[in-house]
Amino acid sequence: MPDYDAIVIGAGLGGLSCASLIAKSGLKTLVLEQSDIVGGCCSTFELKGYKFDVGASLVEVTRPLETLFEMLDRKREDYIDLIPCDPIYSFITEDGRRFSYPTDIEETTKVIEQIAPEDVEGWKRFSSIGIEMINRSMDAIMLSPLNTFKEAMLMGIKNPPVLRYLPTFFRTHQGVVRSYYSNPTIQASVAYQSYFAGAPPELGSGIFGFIALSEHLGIYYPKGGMIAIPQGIMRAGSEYGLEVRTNAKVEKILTQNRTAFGVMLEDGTEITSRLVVSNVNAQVTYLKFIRPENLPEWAIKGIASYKPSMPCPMIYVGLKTKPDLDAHHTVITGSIDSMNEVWNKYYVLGIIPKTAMSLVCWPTEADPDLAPEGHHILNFLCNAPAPYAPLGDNWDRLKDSYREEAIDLLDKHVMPGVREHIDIVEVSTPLDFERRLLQPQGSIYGLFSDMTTLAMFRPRSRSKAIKNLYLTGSSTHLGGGVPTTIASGIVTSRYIIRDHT
Amino acid sequence: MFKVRKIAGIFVLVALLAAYMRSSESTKRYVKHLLKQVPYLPYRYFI
Repeated sequence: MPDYDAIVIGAGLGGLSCASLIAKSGLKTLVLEQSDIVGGCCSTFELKGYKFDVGASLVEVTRPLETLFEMLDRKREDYIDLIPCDPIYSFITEDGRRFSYPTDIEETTKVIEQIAPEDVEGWKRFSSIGIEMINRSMDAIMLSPLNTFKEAMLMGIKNPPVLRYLPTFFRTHQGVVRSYYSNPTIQASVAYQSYFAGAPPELGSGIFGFIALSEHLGIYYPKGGMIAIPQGIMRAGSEYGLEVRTNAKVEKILTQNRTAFGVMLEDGTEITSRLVVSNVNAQVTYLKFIRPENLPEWAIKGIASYKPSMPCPMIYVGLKTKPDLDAHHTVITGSIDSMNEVWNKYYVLGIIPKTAMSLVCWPTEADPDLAPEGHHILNFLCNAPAPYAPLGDNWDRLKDSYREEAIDLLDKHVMPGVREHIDIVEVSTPLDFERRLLQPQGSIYGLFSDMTTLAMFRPRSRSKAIKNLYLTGSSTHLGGGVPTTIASGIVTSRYIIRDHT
Repeated sequence: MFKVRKIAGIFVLVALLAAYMRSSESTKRYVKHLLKQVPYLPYRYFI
């Protein structure tokens, strides 16, 4: 008799969403989290009175989160308080100009009209086609299993209008952007999201070209920091008997005859179960937890073929004053060509690019209680791709100098004189992210995402190589992000409930 | 019939090659990137 019906490795959003749903279906479920806090990349840590978000900084497309709570027969607002953020983004261009996009599509039209009247028509087409696509694709692509050609065909048969958007997968991110806009500033404002999928605009799938638009459906920040989301899901799950253990590091997944039957913890404790769900990166799951000797040759070739997405160092800044910013997110952006150039001439060669491209998040604008009274937080994500292994050096040695360079960038492009107002600074390098999140090479966006690694070409939610092993999280369809990882948890739970209840 | 197919195949190949040669450096990088991934797709599908 196994100890549990299901063991879930990792208390990230995918793991907790899946665990809560299968606990509700009656399975005795245990979540094991290596860290002392839940959430993985969507988490918050406290330092000298400041609550800094580890990585994820907002929720866009709330549909998967709302669906999750509906499936749990709970009201999301009883567990997570989402604060709307408007404008959705503020931009600082290479030449220092600033502008913001409000949530409202019509208001955004006025902003675009001021910058590039020639692109208003393109924006109208982009927003009209895009919003329709996002609404139609939500359930069909995000919340449905797409592990096999059969499932993809079924999805197409059930949702024929979605097939119209198929060519978008085959186009590049920059191809989609350039087909709607001609002004380089407007192009840049909707192209930088390519990096959110871990790829430059010339390689990323065109489907990610619509991320920018999805945010016009509303972006939200959870009261209490990003950790409030996993904590809310965990609380709802615990009402169905879900058990979560922190500081429980899994060493390996126990298998026999290519069937998973439990896990072994770092201290040698073995816990058995009918099935195992891994919310850890798929490459770590297969190559470290299962180990190559327990896998068929094709599985080793398949899993080893994926590349991690780009790592991004993150700087957490506690300020003694209110920053002069306009929005929850401020993006320092360059042209599409400069984004590609940074990738090709620096990142792939192992050189840390000297560029200002980055994302500054100001969470205390939405929730002032995250910092001591009158103080503020800036989470500075150096969105310019930074190589995991800088030429001739390593991140542990570079940490201090990188922090100083990042503060210089803040000073120069975002907040002149920022040094005088800094109370505390902390840095997470790619090495720190790798250690903390078990993401190979500190790739906080999971696996590199392009058309050859999406849908049925991404690691399956229900493993074919190991029976009773399931995967969820950013390694699985549809990739990294708050809504997408929650959606992956929902999809994986559907397989498990079908197979085991 | 076989000869016609062969000629058509060569024609398509030449057309594709010409389109590739005339494309931007950025497109060439995209095509090269995709071609490098093709051998892995069968394995990725099953994993």
